[in-house]
Amino acid sequence: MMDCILEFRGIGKQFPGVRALSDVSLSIRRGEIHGLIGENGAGKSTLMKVLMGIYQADCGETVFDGKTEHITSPFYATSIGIGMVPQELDLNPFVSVKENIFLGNEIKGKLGAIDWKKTTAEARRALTMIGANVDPNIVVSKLSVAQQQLVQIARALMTGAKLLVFDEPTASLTSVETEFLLKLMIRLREQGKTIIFITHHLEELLSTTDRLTVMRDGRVVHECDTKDATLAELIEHMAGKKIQKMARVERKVADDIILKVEGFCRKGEFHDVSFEVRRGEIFGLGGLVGAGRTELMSAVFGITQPDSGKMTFDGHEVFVHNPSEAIELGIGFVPEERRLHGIFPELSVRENMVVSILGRLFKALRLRHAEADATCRQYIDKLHIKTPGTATQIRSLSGGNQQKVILSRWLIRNSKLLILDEPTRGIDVNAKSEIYTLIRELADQGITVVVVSSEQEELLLLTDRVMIMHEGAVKGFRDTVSLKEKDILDIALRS
Amino acid sequence: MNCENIKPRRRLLANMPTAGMIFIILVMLCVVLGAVKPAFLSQYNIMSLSRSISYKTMVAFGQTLVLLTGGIDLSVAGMAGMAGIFVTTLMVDVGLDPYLAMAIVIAGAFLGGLLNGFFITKLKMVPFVVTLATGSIFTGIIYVVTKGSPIMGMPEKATKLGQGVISGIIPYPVVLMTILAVLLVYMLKFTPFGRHIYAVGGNQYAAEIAGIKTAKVTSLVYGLSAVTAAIAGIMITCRLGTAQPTVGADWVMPSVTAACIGGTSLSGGRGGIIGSIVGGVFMGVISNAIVILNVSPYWENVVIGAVVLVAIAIDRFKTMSR
Repeated sequence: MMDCILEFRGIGKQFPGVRALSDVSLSIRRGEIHGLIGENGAGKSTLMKVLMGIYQADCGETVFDGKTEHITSPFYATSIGIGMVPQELDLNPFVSVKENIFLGNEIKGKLGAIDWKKTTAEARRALTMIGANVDPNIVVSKLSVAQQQLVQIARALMTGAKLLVFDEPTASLTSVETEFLLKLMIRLREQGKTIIFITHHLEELLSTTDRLTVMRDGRVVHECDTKDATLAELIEHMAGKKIQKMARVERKVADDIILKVEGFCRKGEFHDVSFEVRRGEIFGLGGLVGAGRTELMSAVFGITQPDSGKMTFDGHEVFVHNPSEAIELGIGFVPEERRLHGIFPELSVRENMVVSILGRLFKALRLRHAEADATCRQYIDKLHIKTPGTATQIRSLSGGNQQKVILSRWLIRNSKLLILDEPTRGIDVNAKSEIYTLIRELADQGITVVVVSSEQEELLLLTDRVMIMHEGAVKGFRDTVSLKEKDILDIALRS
Repeated sequence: MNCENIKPRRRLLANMPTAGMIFIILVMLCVVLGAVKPAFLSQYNIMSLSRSISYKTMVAFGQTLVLLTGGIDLSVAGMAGMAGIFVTTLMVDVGLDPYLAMAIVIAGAFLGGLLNGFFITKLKMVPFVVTLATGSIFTGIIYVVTKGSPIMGMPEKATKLGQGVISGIIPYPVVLMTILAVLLVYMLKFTPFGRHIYAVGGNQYAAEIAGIKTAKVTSLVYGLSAVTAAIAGIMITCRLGTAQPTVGADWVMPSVTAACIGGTSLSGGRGGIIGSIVGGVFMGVISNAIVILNVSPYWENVVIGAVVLVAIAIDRFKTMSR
């Protein structure tokens, strides 16, 4: 039997309304670089959070270094030798590099006070070890992202980590920095460390890792040695052949343009993006997370403003300064992070729904709560929202029903264009197909829908046309009819 | 499933708002006090107690609105004091009609509050710091204007307003507080602006996306907070008959405390005016009880502090058990 430093056995994790991990078994061999890939929402991050003790698994066991461990906190994970280099760097930007490296792991002198001299020396040694040309006395906020990442790695090493998890470390690095990081990972392996490497850049995986695991829908779907893997095969496993709950339909759409965007640029987010959306069309925005799609739609809706570019809506050239102006034009927005940006968790279903038409409900000096209630009921029926009543706090509903409430918010305003950012994120399979049917019905009634989605299947099922983006640029347009499962990833990642 | 069995029992408690629980305790406290010391329920005591409660509670109204948006207004004390001083100056030195003077000062207070709102929404400064600074400026202005000594000679028309009583038991400030309460409760429940306050406090980003002009809502709320503070400051000045530089100086924390006891969340989006009345009355009754029961008045702050802790702990338990 192989010497495995880490073994997951039958890990399962359920969140309200979603099964995030089911029966995940995975072995990481000592001294290898193990690539972990999958689409967004495949369960990679959840699995790593279980490993770090941020989440507790509902079932299954974790064996680390030959012992069955119940990892209950990140502190415990660190103490047994697991180190994480997170996607979102979690350094304290206001203090020095050396202090960050030894944060929570301070080198103390005889009296329990911090021994700064030794701390500096040790920090310098750690940074040299990973080839980082960083002064340990400098304040972290003055470092580049790549340098901060190195500090993070030094920190993980100084806690005595045997297993290092790199969660999309190259996402915000330049190609030279990426090169350096990949070489560093190989060097760390030579020093006997084991590495789990999560990334969306398949070429990086093929050049760096020893073995690969593909996850999809909370399961491990493929495991192989990197030398036997090909790009095409990996993409196929990532996209998968899913059961289609709804048939693809070729819809007839008029030629009338409702939204036209020309040369939209916003520094660091997207550049020179132009597209046209026809009235009644379901227009998809495909690509991976970080492709700039959400940022682009935020600019269309007026949450941010583009640095340059022109937008025409319903025949008029417009500049949208804030969301209220977009809403006045007849645009509705359903954000990606439903809990953070979409709902008012403390408020009722009714309040969450009618917040967009309070002005209309205010007649003769008072809000007509009865009318609001009737409107709300009407949409609860129409969209089949499962809720005990209109006064129920929205946060007690399932994700799918919350999403329908937010959709209703825009429908009761008679919006002409709906922007849906990851409309089925965190929603279970059945609710998903209900939402798909709903969106198609809306489009058939003449409402134009723009869907941002990282799920290939969703775009294929739902949309008429897709614009594919990667790293802030448009990579191409396709009529959905002509697309196959893996084409979107293909277009985004190749060339 | 076994979770189903636990729920109904928990519901009863969880559905009772914090203000409701405090109200029940308050009624029990009053009954006990009335039984032990009949003087508590005497006409005179009720009159003077309700009057002293009304000032801080009016300040708490504005504070509650601010807390509902997730902010805090530390400038209410300075604003109240400044309003008292300016209204007296306008009456005594300029010779304006008292009601006109009050209208001018209240309008000015509204603008002062909008200034807080400007710093908070346009310059994205933290409410705590902004209102700490403006509060200090307002207090400073009081002393610059008065040089530390009271302003005398207020016309009778004004003092009547502060000292008047309806049928020997309901003081004018209490009537004013009640009117304000009705208006604000109505505003919060029956106007779009009121619902926007809850939306902004509940989730500012979501509010922005839902098309609410969050900056406008927030600024107006600080304006209203300044207005209620100014009204309270004017009323107590009229009651005293002289403008004291120290008037309202210790109103900041009680206004927050009353709102907290009444179930208004410091993180915004939850609470209301009725709760703050309950909180304000509760604090007044405790302070009165300490006097009536001959307990050392030094205990007052200890008791109030304990009540706040208990009230908020109850709130947390309810949230956690959901």
